[in-house]
Amino acid sequence: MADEQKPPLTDQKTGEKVSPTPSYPPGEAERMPEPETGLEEAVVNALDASEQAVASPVVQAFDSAVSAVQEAVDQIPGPAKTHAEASAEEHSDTTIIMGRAITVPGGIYTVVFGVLGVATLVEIILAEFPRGLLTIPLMLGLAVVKAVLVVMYYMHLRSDSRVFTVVLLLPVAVTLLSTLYLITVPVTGY
Amino acid sequence: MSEASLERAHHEVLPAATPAQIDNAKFAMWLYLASEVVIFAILIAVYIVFRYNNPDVVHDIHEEVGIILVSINTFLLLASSWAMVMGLQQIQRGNQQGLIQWIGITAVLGTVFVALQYVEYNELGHLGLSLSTEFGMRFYAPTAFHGVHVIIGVLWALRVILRARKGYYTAQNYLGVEIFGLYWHFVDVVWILLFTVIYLV
Repeated sequence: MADEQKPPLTDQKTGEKVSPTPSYPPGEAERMPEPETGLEEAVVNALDASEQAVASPVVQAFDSAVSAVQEAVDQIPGPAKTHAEASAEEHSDTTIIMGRAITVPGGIYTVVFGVLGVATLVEIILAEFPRGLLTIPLMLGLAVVKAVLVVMYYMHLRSDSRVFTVVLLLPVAVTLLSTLYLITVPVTGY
Repeated sequence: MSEASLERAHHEVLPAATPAQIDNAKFAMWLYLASEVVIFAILIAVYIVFRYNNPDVVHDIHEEVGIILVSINTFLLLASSWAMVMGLQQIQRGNQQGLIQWIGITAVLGTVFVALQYVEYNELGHLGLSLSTEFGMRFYAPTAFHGVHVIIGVLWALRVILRARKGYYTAQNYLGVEIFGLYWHFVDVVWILLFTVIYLV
């Protein structure tokens, strides 16, 4: 347990100082009952061990590595919209597209839904009509555009932390490359 | 590092509430979705390789099955995703009733999607497209796995509705809705890709 003086508790949302519940003596909140069963003892031992492990160089190094990655990722050039702009847009029924203000219930969300619907219709028409050289690339392109629209606008990746984008793109990139590789492997008949 | 300094580090991070501040639960959801990406990508890749090497087989099946039912399903799922964000917008404005109604629509659309998928599987079964055919196993694996995700999503939607009815979510506290939204939209994204890759191409 810590012998250092703890910083004053603050409310996480407002940042105001909060006094601890007065009826408890200091340290009461951290007090653990004596372990009675083997399981409880194991839990207490594990907690102790993890507390000690926090101080180990390995954990410290990992901790700073994770922070460094997060900082580096957040340095990537900013999104088209800042978080504040994006959330203002997402809260409003009015959205500006190509210089024109459009007001529909739901705002940008409804506009995106409209685009998704039209893109799907185009895809279906492409699939049903006689196919040319470009049909399949066009359909795949439309599907990717639709997926990106949902991820950016509905899943808020255009304004949320960059870390989430990296988390998503890493497996996408790896599996895409693997798939392209697999397609080039000739079928030998196994 | 002692517990006190850990806690202090925690407190030092919190007041600097930048937009990029990472919420743990949301981060966990994204990590989970990343693992889902891998699973679905493998299933889709297996199909793509088959489609690439057997274009005639797939063409004949497409001719026989048609895409009306599955197109309806696609629009249902797109609409459900839209209803999901509309619900999120409502609770961000503090409208609990609006949240319940929109998420209710999401759940209904998801249920109809699964029902239509059942109808579709029945039709395919009558056409003799079983799990043991070369095409069948590569078709059912991704679509059925996706269907299971929709079922889980519907159950999750019901839980969100139940909590909303108890007044759990507010204009300040909507993280639970947002995280469910991430899951639901991901399922939608997977379907957008499945629909094009498996049914159209």
